[in-house]
Amino acid sequence: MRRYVWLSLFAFLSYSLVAPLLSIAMADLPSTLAVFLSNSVMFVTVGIVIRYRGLSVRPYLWHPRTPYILAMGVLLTIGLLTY
Amino acid sequence: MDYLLWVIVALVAYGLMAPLTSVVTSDVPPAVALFLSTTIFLCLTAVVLVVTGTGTPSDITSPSAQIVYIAGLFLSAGILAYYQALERGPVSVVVPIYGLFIVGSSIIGIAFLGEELTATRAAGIVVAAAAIYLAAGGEA
Repeated sequence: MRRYVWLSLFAFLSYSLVAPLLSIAMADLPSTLAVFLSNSVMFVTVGIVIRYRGLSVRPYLWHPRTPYILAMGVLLTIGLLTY
Repeated sequence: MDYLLWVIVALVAYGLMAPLTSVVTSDVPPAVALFLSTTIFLCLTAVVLVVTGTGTPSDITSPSAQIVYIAGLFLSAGILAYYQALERGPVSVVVPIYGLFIVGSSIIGIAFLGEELTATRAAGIVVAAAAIYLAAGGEA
């Protein structure tokens, strides 16, 4: 099987656990705060991955694709907060 | 019916994310794209939290928050793998396989959270899994 299929399957299995766990937590926590905190964990985790791989964020702050990344952030916010 | 409008807004926003991510990750490392888009998300959501006065500082150390942090780890693993897959494979295959999480989450909800399994819901899960498998071209 191709590598991207394995990655997709792993992504599906891992992400399947997110909604049930958040659902348990949201019995006590406001949904916006829960989504903010879970994405904060992702922010830190991805930051560690970037550091580990020796990648640099700076070149992409002013890059031809930066407006697209900005749009992704806005769409992510709209998608998650309205969901 | 108010919720339906929000569901449609979320659907459109999510629908645009995959092709946009695919375009971005052709030039930008997926982890960097994810890091920057998450930064924007956190800034905008922080504004929403402050403006609406949602939550208290003690919330971030509550037992429920610890469950959220575990969810955050699965979220990180899932999204990083998803971005890597989008970088390497076609959107039309990666997104439907990843979309199986809808079925996965439903099954976990029924198996572990005591949610009711009706014949209609079971049929819906089976049909959704079949639809996603077929949409992925039988590659899953």
